[in-house]
Amino acid sequence: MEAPRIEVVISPEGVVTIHVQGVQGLSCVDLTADLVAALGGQVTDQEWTLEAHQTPEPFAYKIWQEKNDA
Amino acid sequence: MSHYTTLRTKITDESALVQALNDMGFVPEHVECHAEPQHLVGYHGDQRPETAHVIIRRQHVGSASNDLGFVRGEDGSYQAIISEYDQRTGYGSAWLQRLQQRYAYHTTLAHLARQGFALAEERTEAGTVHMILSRRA
Repeated sequence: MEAPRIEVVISPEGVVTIHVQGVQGLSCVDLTADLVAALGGQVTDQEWTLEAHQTPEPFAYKIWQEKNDA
Repeated sequence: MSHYTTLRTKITDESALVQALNDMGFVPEHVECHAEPQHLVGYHGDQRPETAHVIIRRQHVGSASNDLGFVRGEDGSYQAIISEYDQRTGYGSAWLQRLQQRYAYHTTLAHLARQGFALAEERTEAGTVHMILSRRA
């Protein structure tokens, strides 16, 4: 499997883009939650590519469904 | 699997703020950190009503400068207190943005190191910092 890798781009204005790759399912969100909080938590944009939902991970899938139902 | 997050930096961590100030040319001995906010001092040596948790005293800023301060608000984020004079003489919004960039850099390294990630690549292009961090699968 692809090794986990995080690409971080910081603009001169202090805008940060974090790109997580090679982490199973939605656990990639947990991985960066602390970092996002320490950077002030002002998320302006969040995007998952399709592959993030492809891994059969029932627990994560359940959370996703509940969110959709709410 | 892939996931993107974009955010605007707010300063919330004292030690990363101090590291960022070090990058901006202030040696660690010149950056005061206080548990309780302390009064800033103006260029005449006058005590100002403004208080701050992180302070660089005026003698380390410039000959006619006032103290630079960062006060921690109730939401945990730091607000810069910089006099109009100092904003005009190099400590304006461009300086603050560079400070935020350095803050984001140190915060990223520290937090991702705790998750087992190490810096594999770093480059700066047109003022934008690109970092790649990796760990074993």
